[in-house]
Parts: sequence; C-alpha cells; structure tokens
Amino acid sequence: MLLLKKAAGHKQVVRMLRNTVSQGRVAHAYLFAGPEGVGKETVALSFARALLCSSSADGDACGVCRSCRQVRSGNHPDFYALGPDGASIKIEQIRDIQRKVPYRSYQGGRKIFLIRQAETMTGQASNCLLKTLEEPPPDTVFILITARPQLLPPTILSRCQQVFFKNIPLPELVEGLVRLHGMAEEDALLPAALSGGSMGKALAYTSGSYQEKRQAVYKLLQALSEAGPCEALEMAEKAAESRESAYFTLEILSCWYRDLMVYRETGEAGLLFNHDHTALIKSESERFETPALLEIIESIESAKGKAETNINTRLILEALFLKLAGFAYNYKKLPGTLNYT
Amino acid sequence: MTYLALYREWRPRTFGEIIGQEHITRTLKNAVESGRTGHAYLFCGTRGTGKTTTAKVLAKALNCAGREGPEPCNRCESCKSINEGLSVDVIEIDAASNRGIDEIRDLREKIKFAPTMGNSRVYIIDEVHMLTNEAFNALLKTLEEPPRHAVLILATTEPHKVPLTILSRCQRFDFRRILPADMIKRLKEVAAGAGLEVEEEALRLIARAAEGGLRDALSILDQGAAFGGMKITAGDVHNILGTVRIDALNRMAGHLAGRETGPALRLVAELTGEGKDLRLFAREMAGYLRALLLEKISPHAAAEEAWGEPAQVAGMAAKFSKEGLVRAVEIMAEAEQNMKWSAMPAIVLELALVRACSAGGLSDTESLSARLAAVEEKLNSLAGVEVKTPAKPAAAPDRKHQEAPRPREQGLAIEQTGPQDNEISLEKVRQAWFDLMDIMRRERLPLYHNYAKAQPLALKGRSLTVGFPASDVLGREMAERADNKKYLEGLLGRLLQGKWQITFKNYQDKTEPTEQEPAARDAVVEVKRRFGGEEIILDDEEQGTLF
Repeated sequence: MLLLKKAAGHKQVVRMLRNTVSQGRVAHAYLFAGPEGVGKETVALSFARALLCSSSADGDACGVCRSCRQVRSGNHPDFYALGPDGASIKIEQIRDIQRKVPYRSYQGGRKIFLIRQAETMTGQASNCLLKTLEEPPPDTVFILITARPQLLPPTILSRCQQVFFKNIPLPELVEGLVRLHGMAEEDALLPAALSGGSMGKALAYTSGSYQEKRQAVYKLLQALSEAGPCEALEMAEKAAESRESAYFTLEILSCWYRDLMVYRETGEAGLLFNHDHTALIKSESERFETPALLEIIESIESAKGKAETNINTRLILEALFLKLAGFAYNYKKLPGTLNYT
Repeated sequence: MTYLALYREWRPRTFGEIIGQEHITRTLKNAVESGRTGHAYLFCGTRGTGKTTTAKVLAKALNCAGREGPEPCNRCESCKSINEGLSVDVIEIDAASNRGIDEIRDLREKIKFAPTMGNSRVYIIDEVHMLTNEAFNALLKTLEEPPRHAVLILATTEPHKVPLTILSRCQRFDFRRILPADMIKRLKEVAAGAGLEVEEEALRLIARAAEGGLRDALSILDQGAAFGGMKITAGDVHNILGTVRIDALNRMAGHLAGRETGPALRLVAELTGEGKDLRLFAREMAGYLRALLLEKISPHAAAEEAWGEPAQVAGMAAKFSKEGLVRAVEIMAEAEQNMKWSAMPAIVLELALVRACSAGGLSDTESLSARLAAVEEKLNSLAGVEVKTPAKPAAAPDRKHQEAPRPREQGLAIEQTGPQDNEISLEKVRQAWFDLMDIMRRERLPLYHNYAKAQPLALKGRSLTVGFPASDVLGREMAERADNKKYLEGLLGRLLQGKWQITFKNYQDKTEPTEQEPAARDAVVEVKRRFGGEEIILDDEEQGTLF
C-alpha cells in the first residue's frame, strides 16, 4: 500500500489532501469521483492511512506505526469499508454504518468509513445516509468513491467535498508504470497512450496477449480493406466469437480511425495514440475524406454503445464490417488498400 | 475542538443571515413577531438553499427567552442548547432513516408532553419525502391538530413525493436557488470570517459551479482553503473543479467560429496533457456557447452568469451566426451526454469538434432545408393530383402514386368521389373490365391468364362480385390470394376511382344468380361485407341422398 506522496499522478489532489491533514482541516465527508482505473481507491486508502496514522508527518502516513500496519493488513478496528452487496448498496448496510457512527473510535483517533461504488446505493440507502453524512460526530470521516458521480443524488453530492480525479497525464502515467511496475520506458509508452490515462487499463494493456490481439485487429483491418461482402461477413462472425473480444476489436478500431482523423486534420504525429504505426497512419489518412472518417468513427462508437447492451454482437459487427469494407457506405470507396505488415 | 466544515460552522443563526430567501424569512419574521405562527410548515427546495437552517432558526425564535423583535437572541439557555443540538424541546428527526410507521407512532406518543424550557416543542422532520405511505398517513391527524405547544416543520427536496393530504395541512414555503450575486456576497462574509483571502474571479467561479446551492459553494471554498492555504486563486478553483480557465473556452470558441479543426484538436490534446476532465470541459463549453447565444439574441442577458468580461463575450458572440451557435450548442451538449457513457471520452469530444468545425456541419442544415423544400414540393404536387383525380380519365400517367396509394390519398379520394357514386353501375364496370384486363396483361401477365374466364357478376356500391366458371376453382383461389386481390382492387380504383372491395365466386353455367334475386343477394352481400367469411350453398337434395 502506497503513501500519498508516492501515488502515480493526481499531484493536485494529493497536495490538497496532504494540506488538509497537515493543517487539520479535514472535512467529514469526501467524494472521490473520476474515471475507472485511475487510482481513486489507491489514493483513498493512502488518505485513510494518513488520517489514522499516529505519527503522521507533513500530511502523510509514516507507514511503520501500528495504525499504518493495521490498515495495510486490513484489520484496523476504526477503518470500515463497504461496497455493493450484489448489485447495489442496500439500506441495511447504511443502517449498519449509522449504528457504528455515534461510538467513539477504538484506538482514540478517527473513524473512517469508505464506501466503494457509492453510485450503486439504492434511493433509500442514499437518503438514509443524508443526515449522517451532513453532521456526523467530530471524529468521523466518510470517503465515498464513484466513477459515475452523475448517478448520485445532488443531495449527497452537496454534502461532500468533491474531489475530482482525472485521467493521469501521459508522462506521469509512464513514470508511474516505470517506477511502480518496473517496466522499461519504451514499453510503457504505448499502453499508457492507449489506456487514455487509466492506470488499471494500462496495466491490462501491457500483457503479451494484448499485443498479439492488437496486431490481429490490424491484420483484420487490412483484410477488410481488400475484402468482398462475403469475406467481410465471415470476418464479423469470427470477431464476434465472444462479447469481450468484439468490444476489444471495436476499441482498437476506434483508436485507429481516430488517429487517421486527427492526423488528417492536424498533421501532427505527436497527437496520435498508435505511435508505432505513424508512417502507416500518414499514408492511410490520405485515402479518406474527413466526412467519411467522421461517419466511420460514429458507426464504430455507436457499435460500441450497442455492444455494451444485450444486442447480438455478430449483427453489430456484420453491419460495421460491411461499412468498413466499403459496402453499405455513403462515401465513394477510394482506391488502394491498407498495407499492414 | 476538531475542524468543522465551513458549511456547518457558518450555518446562519438568525433570519437576517439567511440569504436569497427574503420571501420566506420576511413571512416567518412577521409571523413570529405577531405570534401568528402556524403549527405545521413544509419547507421545500433544492439542496443547499437553507431549509434545515431556516427550520432551526424558527425553532429558536419560537423558544427564545430573551427575544426582542423576531430574531432569536442566540444568548439565552434555550438558544444555546438548540445551537448545540442538545435541546429536548427541539427534536430533529431524520425521516429517511426513520421512515416507518413505528417511528411516527413514537412521535405521536411523545408530542403530547409539554415543553421543558421554552414555549413550544418543535419537531423538525428532515427528508420527509422518504417516509413510507403508512407513516405519512399515521402522521395526518397529528399534523392537522397537534397539541397547542407543538410545531411540526417538514423539510424536503422532493415535495412531489409528499402526499397531497400532507401538503394541504402545511404552510408551504418554496426555497429558491440562490443567485450568484447573493452567493458571492455570502461567500465574502464567510471568507472574511474564516480569515481566507479569495480572488474575485475565484468567487465568481465558485458561485457558478455551485448552481444555486450555498452548501456546494462553501464546500468548494473549503477545498480551496485546503488546496491553496489561506489564499484562494481562480487557478486553485479551476484545479479543484477540474474546469478550465475562461481563455481556454474563448480559444476553443474562436477555433469553432473560424472552423479551424487542427488547432481545436491540438487544444484538446493540450487540455488532456494538463489532466483536465474533458467531459467537464464539454459541459463548460456548451454552457459558454449557450451564453454566447444568449448574448447574440439579447445583448447583456448573459452578464448575470458571470462568464468573464462582458465585452469579450460580446466580441466572441459576434463571430458566430445564430444558426451556427445553435448547432454548436447542440453538438457540444450531445457530446457531453455521450461522453458520460463512453470508455474513451476523448474520441467523442474530438469527433464532435471536427463535426462542429467541418463545412459538412453547416451543409447538414442546408441539405435538411433542401430536403424539406423537396418534400413540400412533392406535397404540393400531390395535392394537385388529388384535386384533378376525379376529372381525370382512366389510367393516369403517374403510375408511381397510383400503384401504391397512400392512406391519406385514398381517404381524400373517397370523399371526393362520394357524390359520383350513383354513376357507377354494373354496366360501367363491364365496359371498364376490358381496359382493366388490358392493363393487367401489360403489368402482370400470369394473373391476366388467370382472369381470362372471369367476369363481373354483381355490384353493390363499390363492392364487386367477380365470377369464375364452376370448373375454374383454381382461378378463383389464385384471385383470392391477398396480394392478387389487392392488386385488382387497386386497379379498379385506378380506373373508376374510389376504394373497391371484391369478392370472388364460381358460378354455375351462364346464369347469374345475383341478378335473378337482387333483394335476397343484397342481404347476403351485406352480411358478408360486415362479417366476412364465405358463402356455402347447401343443397338439401344431395344431403338426402347421403342417407
């Protein structure tokens, strides 16, 4: 478990949190909101540790005292964490918390209540929490974590200090991957760029099978650019074997065409996601008109939206692949094929 | 004493400190001063507008021992104990946690007891919309006629969830969203009291971000204090909220106005590099463009929303056309919605910006209006056809419209041909039959052969009976197939106007039974028309031979 000062990215958030601890301005309720996988919970745990630490210095935990060790091993008696029970956080769980709130802490410090995926609270549960969240006893701190703050009722939001976590900027993410996960910098660059600033995703992208899959998608793109309708349909069938792989294919396609569009509009290689294929993107972007690219990206995005719901993925991919292969498509197919090797 | 959040520490303690709700505080002050307070109040309004605060102040005012005028003194025993939340006469109930009928029954039991210190027992029931139905109903009688010393104050953000029977028993007060100007005033007071130094621009940002909730505003101020120490700058507030400085919005608006796609995309990359939340940016951008639109429609209308220098806003608005702004707002608002659900919001935003910048963006509306014009033209021509149809002889040249008559067209045709009904006779149909067969030969040859031996038998209004020789059962069955039948009906309609109905039958030799007993046939045809089905002729003699 990390110390606050060692967290990857989120420099401003960390600075603010450390200031609150060192200046004694700790509020009674925080809402950590931000995209999936950027490290909200990591920071929340570190923050909790700093709040509970008996010998905190400079707003950060010492990492060696009894409290710090207890939090690390998950048996601190004043640290309560809860998450959804099944699909949602139920009112009983909140009532359970409320019974604990009025008591003094066991070890004389603060009591921390960490609520993961707070947006899954049922309407009854969140309403039940309102009064407690507004005026808890002095030694109590609530930390709510959510990736979708817009799903929480405004009455909850306005009672918390809202801390916004952003996607981690590329350089900081690369630095984090190198420092915390022992990767070489050149290996870290691509997954970091593709992850769009999420540490969790970047880590998933570093595995070898991921790279293979990505190459497979580019091969598929090339095959599509030469394919007739029947072949396109066959490819769709193959790509739709599992929902996950279909979604993955769509994400890679989306990044690819986005790069084409961005390069076409700006001519700057620095803005691209696929740094390893800059030359290919340059040549490929000349084969498309901007409106055509817009239409393609829109189709991919809408296909992605559909793939998340319970719609037949094969049908979605068939429609999309026909379009990508140049059939069922409003713009004239330009000559030439993608030359991916 | 541990640290208290600003919004708790600076909860107003008198009516005078409550801002932005003069319509309520004045009413309550007058009521307190003249001793005409009601026994049940309902406070509703969005979060952070002062419902609970007002309830507490009112409770103090009612019980205050040293009150002069309407304001509570905040010095007497009663006021102090209420401020500390220790008073036994002011009971604050969290209705969202205690939402059952048992809690309300408990309240009914205890409300009878006389107050210990002041004059009245005040029950503040917060989040009252979460009570169960049974609990609400159990409360009704108490709410209508509580003991003389009791005052019930219900507070809720969602009054529409409260039953009408409850609403009608309370004096209802609606709390308004607090205007940015009022909020800034209060923020200044709090900042001065807490020893914080806040930039004017930062105050404006906070007031705008809080969207009418003072508690939100104070939370942000609190965070700002933690982030930047005792001095809060606009940059700190941007950092906390993840928003961007007004000049980034201005630059983006400039790129959109100039249709410069490249720079717009570069700006997005720049913002991502700074770690800005792109969804928030899209939202801010939509808001800013909306302000520009407001400025365009009515100059200085957007001044209240505190979007930077008015002159700058006006200058930027002048660069856009009104339609362009409307489209830009639409695109950004849509992008913001889509970004909520997308795993890669950056792509959605980039897509939206390219669309907003591209010339295709404008031509979209142009093509739309062109299509609209085409549709209008078509409509006009259609109207022309309808007027002319009755006058036109058979087989109009425009086949497309007639082959697939639209319901509307059909409806009109019936109305128009109504008066002409008399003119249609079996004779006329028979004359037209040859033309009809001729058309059919050209259009659907196989069907024509099928009809070769058929002839019109009887006519009633516009329902025609077509006869096939007794031997040609196959021909009749072919003709009866829905699509063939529809086609023939359409064909008749084309030649003789109106909406036709056709029935088929096999006739014995050359005699035409319909003509022999017209009255009886009429009745049968009528029954058939109303109920459908087909006619079975029973032959008694043949049945007899069976046995």
